[in-house]
This record gives sequence, structure tokens and C-alpha cells, in this order.
Amino acid sequence: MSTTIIRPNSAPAEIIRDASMSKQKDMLARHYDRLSDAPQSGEKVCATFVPGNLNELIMCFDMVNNLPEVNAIQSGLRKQSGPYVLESEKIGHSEDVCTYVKSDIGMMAKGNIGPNGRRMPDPDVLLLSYTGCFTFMKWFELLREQYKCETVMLHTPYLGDGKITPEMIQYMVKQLKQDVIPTLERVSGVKFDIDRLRENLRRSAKAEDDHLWVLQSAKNKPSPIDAYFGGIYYVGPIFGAFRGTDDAIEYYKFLREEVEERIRLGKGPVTPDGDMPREKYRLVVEGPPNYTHFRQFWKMFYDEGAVVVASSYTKVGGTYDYGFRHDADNPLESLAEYCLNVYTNRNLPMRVDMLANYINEYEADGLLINSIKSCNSFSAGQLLMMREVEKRTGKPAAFIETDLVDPRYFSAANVKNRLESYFQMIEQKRSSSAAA
Amino acid sequence: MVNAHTSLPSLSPDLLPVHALIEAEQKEFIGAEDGVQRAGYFCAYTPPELLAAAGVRHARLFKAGSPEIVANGERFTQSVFCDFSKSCIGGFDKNEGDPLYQAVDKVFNFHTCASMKRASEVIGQFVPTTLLNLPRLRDQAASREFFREEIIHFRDDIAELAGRAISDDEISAQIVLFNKARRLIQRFSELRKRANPPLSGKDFLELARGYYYLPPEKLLATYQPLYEKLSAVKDDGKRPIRLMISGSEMADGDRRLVELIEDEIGARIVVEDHCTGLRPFTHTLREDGDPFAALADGYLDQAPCARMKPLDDSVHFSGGLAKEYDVEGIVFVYLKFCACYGVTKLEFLNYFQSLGIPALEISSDYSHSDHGQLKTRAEAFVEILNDRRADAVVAAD
Repeated sequence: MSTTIIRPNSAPAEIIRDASMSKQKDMLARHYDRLSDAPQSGEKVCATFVPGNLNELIMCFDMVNNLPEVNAIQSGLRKQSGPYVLESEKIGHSEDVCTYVKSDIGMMAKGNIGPNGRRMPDPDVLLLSYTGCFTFMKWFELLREQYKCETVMLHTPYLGDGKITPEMIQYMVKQLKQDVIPTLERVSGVKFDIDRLRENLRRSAKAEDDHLWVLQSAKNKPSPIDAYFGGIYYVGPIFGAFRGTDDAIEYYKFLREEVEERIRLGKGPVTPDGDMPREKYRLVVEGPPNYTHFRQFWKMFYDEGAVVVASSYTKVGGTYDYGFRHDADNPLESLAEYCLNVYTNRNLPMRVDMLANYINEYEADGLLINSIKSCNSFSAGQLLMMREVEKRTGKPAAFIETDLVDPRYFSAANVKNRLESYFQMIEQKRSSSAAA
Repeated sequence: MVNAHTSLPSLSPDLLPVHALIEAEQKEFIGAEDGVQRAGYFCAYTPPELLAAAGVRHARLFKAGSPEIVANGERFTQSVFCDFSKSCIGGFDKNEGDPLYQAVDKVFNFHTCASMKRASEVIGQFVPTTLLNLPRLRDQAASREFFREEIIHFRDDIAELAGRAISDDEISAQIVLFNKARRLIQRFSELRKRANPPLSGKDFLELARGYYYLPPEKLLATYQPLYEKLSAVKDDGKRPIRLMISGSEMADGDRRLVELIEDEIGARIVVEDHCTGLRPFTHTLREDGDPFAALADGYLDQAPCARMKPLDDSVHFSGGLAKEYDVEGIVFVYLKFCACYGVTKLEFLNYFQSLGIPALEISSDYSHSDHGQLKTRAEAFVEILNDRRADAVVAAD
């Protein structure tokens, strides 16, 4: 059930995609057109971020959701982020600032043309749902200066003690009631209807079940999916503008059926070069990918028969492994709990637990950390995490460094060299274990 | 250039007894064998009133500036950490860390920025550490209620460390004492509004440093006579070029920029908008009613760090302070990889420009490799300010 799509102009070769990947791409394209049409259609635009995305709430106000970091990713994938980053540095932003921020600001400076080739709309409101990425908070300060629009923040307390307390939930619900909802009502002119929110949350929960099932299908051998490179496609709708919609339910049902079929046929993941022939290494990956060389980066894995069976990055927009689902019976509390649970809001021991559990549950050969040069939120503490996961699981770990969307910081030869050494190390461990 | 870690800093003679007192207090913190627990904290949003009320020894952990300590911290971090957060980790290194840090029994950290959040989690492997939440929106009722709850958790945690309960009255008494200390330090700073201030920027940083190591009673007993002496100094002599330093934390041990400006170039730092300078002393706490609400409100209402929202509050406070102290130029310094001040620097610089105050932007670290560059840039900046002053005199004539 795979389709072959010819990429226009820039693509060096044909890219093979699952039907679900093509479906996802169409959904995203429609969303970008909806955004570009907003000034004409009169739809109000709410800019917000993936971690802590409150799409179900935003939809209650008939607003359309715009995610600046997804725009930066799209610019990275389309090789446009490099000039944007440079433009931003020319304006005066430091070299060490998050490159999502600089790509976005550079894109604005160069006319704010989105991935569909059309101008992105100015936001009517900036909804900063803060879930641990400090730079995101400052990013919105810069955007507010640019757009002079209303800004509202939802502060998610950090899980420093590793647990959610009733005080945290109450604090967040109060912020939603006293500040976030009134602001969205004022900007949109639409009165808040909690029953509408409940409906959206019901739809979310349904899609979340299938989404989790797909991610957990990687426990099969061979894994029918790549839960990092492929996972980025799979999380798109649920992390972006579709959670809480019928489109999302339909997409995840479709995706699940597709993956069920792959399991039935004993197939591995689809890669841009077709089905992965043989699974040699099963990895857990921590950290975001590089987007400027996404396909080249992925190829370094599948050429060696390495498949990623679980990743932390696919949990930044929501962690569902531990039972959380949006709950229509407790709508505001459920939004709070969702934000508290996202990966970037988890403390170091929780992250280590998650990664070590993934290695055991998904029977992985080891942990690979892709440390992002300009991402403080993810990268800080990763060396410690690596050592701790190694200690707990006895599995080898490796560390590479790239960047999100700054092409200057992707050193292909270095990365490839380290990956090859890592795979050799896994082989060595295997032979030692076999000999023992 | 003198590093405060290794030898006497270039302070005015009047400040040397204060320096000696701080050093003695640190020695006691490290070496005392009386069974009193030692608590450390990082951020100016941590209320030391509670630590004092519990009777534990306490110190703000902001010693940094040494490249060796940074290197210790780098064993656990990557490039995305600022040198201060690396130093905080490096200070706890069992073999090559800082004795003051090694003596700490428990660390408390109110969640400020992403680097310090993660640094405190790394430090957790060396010493028990509690990370507490700090709201970002101070104008919301929900923030104040939640922060009050966090402060109560903080009280409970300290009580456990101290092995005894802490009464509300003890906390209220400490609020009164610390307010006195804050007011006195603020009055020292007021002396810098004079045309020729009787204390240098380095001197003031030493006074501010004392606040984080000395018990308030000891501080008041030492600082009050010094204030009387300095305030009696006549305001005459040449008016130096007046500068403000704004931006990231200036650590205890990172005095090289201030020494360069004051000792080598001859300008004067008359005010600081950073959390180890004047900023934390511009507010006092309510002294009546519920002490936890007073702490929550007081610390949220203090002059804001750029980690708080909205950023305008920080930017306007900085500009206001520059006006109040009649500065002729602002040196905006941020540590490389500082998400608070690195990302937002343009907002500050644009605002300073709108006020007509020239600003010099410096991105810094603790490598000590850029002294020549810094000197060239600072000299050029002060030269411009001298020219402006001369132009203003000509225009007035």
C-alpha cells in the first residue's frame, strides 16, 4: 500500500511514501492554504506552539492554529531556513539562539512566505502555552513586538518532583478560566462553550488511541514503522492543527490499518528509498532530528539496517504511553494534565526512566542521542541521561550533534562516521554476549 | 585584573573589612562543626528569610568566573549551557570543585531558566536538591496563590532539613530584618546618584555580595557605620563618566569587566540592572499579615528578571533605572547561551536607543581570552561618551 511521489525540482530522486504519509502531506497543505486564506475568509489566527498545543480549546473560538516551529521545520525541509537564519543574525540575533526562532524571524523579515509559497497571515493572538522550553517564551516576546497583537500565556509548572499535584492542576485551570479563555473570547468574538470543548476532547481521545497503537507497533520484529524519522510524519496531525478533529480520527484509523497490513506482511518501515529490507539494529533516539538534511540523515540509518523503534521527540506534543487521554468529563483539568505531561516538561529522572523503559520494552540495541546545538530545552543534561541509561540497561549509547534548521551545523561525514562506529559497537556487544 | 577567587579584589580601603567579613563567613560555612545544616540557593527569587528563620546556614551559590570550574561543569553539559550554569555544576565536583559548594547539605532552586533548571537536576547527583516552581506572570492572582503554595512547600522542605518546625512569627521577624538590610543597601546605592559617588561599582557589588553570605544582623552591624562614613564624604571632585551595567547575572568572581571599566579606563559604574547588583534591593516586603503571602507577593513584585513576563516590565525597569541614576551610557552584558538576556537583547537595546542613551553590547563568558577585545571596545565606547559630553557643553555654551 505504498505510493510513489515525484518531488518537483529540488528533490534529487523519487521519494517513496506510505499512503498515510501522502495523506498527511495533503492535510498539512490544506491547513497552510487555510492559513493563507485567513485574511480573506475572516478566520482569526492563533499562533501557538506544539508542546502544550491547546488545539481543542482554540477550535472552540473558530480560530485557526499557526505553529511557528512547524513553519521553521518546513523551511528547513525545503532548504530555506539557512538564508532565514542568516537574515535573522544580520538583524542582530545571536549565533547561539535557537534556530527555530531565527528561521521564523528571518522568514518574517523576508516577506513571511509560508511553505505553500503564499504569505502567512499575521496572528490575531499569541497563545503561549509554556511547557518547559524557555526560548519559546522569549520567542513570543519577540513576535509580540513584531505583530503588536494580544498575547496570553498559560504557565505549566515544571514537574521538578516528578509528580503532578492538585495545586498544579488548580493553578492551570485558574489561568485558563481567568485569563486564557477570556482573552480568546475577546479576540475571536466567540463565546466559550464548554460542551463544544468536550466534543473536541472526545475526538482527541479517539485519535490518541490509534496514534499510540501505531507508535507501539514498533515493538514488533521487524518494526513496521520508524518511530523517529517516520514518526515525524505520524505525529504531524496530532501535534499540529488537527487534534480534536474528525480528520485526525480518520487519519489515525487509516494509518493504523496501513501499519496492521505491514505487520501482517512482516514488512519493515517504508523509507524514502522504499521498504527497508532487513532490520539489523533497533534504536531508541533522544532529541529532535536535523531537518535541513532530513533525508540524508535518515539514509545513514536505513542503509545500515537501523530502525528507530522509539523516540522522545515524538512525545513533545503529548505523552500517551502512561495512560493519559484527553478527558471530556474533566475538560479544563484535562488540558492542564496534557500540558504537564509533555516531554519537555518532564524532569531529568522522568526522561531517563522513559528512555530506559523504551530500550527494555521495545527490545532496542541501544540509545542514540542527537544533541541539538541550539536547543537548550532538549540538549541540556543529555550527557548525564546517556550515562544513566547505559548504566540501567547495559546497552551501549552514542552521542551525535547536529542542529534543527541551521544547515551550517550538519556535518554529514562526522555524523556518518560516529553512527558507523556505534553500529560496530553494537555488533561487538552482541558478539561478546553470544560468547558469554 | 584580579580574580576575587584568588586574591584581594581592587576595592576601596573602606570596603576591605566587608570583604574580610564575607571571607570569614564563608570559611565558617565550610568548616563549622556545630551540626547546623547548610543550604545553598542560586536565584534572587529564593526567599532567604525562610532559611534564616529555620536557623540553617545559607548562601547564594553564585561563585563563578573561573575557566577551570567551567571545565568541571562541562563534563556534564554541552555547548548550550551558559558558563554560569556550567560553573554551578562544576562547583560541586567532589575533587576539583569549590569548597563552599562542596559543604552544602541541600540545594534549593526556584525554576528560573532552562539551563539552571537542568543544572540543578545534574547537581542532584552530588547533593540533595529541590527544584521549585516560580510563576512567570506576576500580575495574575493565580500566580500569587500558586507561588504562595510553593513557598509553603519550600518552608516544609527547609523544616525537614533543619529538623524543626518554623513558626510564622519567626518568618515575619526575618522579613523585617531582611527588609532592613535591603533598605540599607538601597541607600548605599543612592549615594551613587551624586556627581562624584563616594563608592565605586566594585564597592557596591561587594556590599551586594555580602547580602548573600552574611546573616542580616551581622550585615546591619557592619554596614550601618560604613554608610554613615560614606554618606559624610563631600560630593566634590571630577564627575566621572557614569555607566550602568544591565543584563545577565554578574557572578561573585566575575569582576573583570567592572575592573576594566573602572580601574583601567576610569569610568564609573553607578548602577546595575542585574540580579547580583542593585536590582534585588529595589523592593521590600510587606511586614504584616500572612508571611507566606508577603513572601509570594514581595518576590514576584521585585524588579523583574527577563525570565518573567511581560518582558516590557524588565525593559522599562532597566531604562527607568538608567534615567534615575543619570547615566551617560549602558553596557549591556549577557553570557553566551543566556536565553533570558541573549534572546531578548534587541528589546533592551532598542529601548535604550529610544531613550537616547548609548549602549554597548557585550557577549561574554568566563574564558578570560577576550580581555584585549573588551578593553578596545569599552575604551572606544567611553571615548564616544566623553565626546558627547564635550559636545553637550559646547551646545550649552
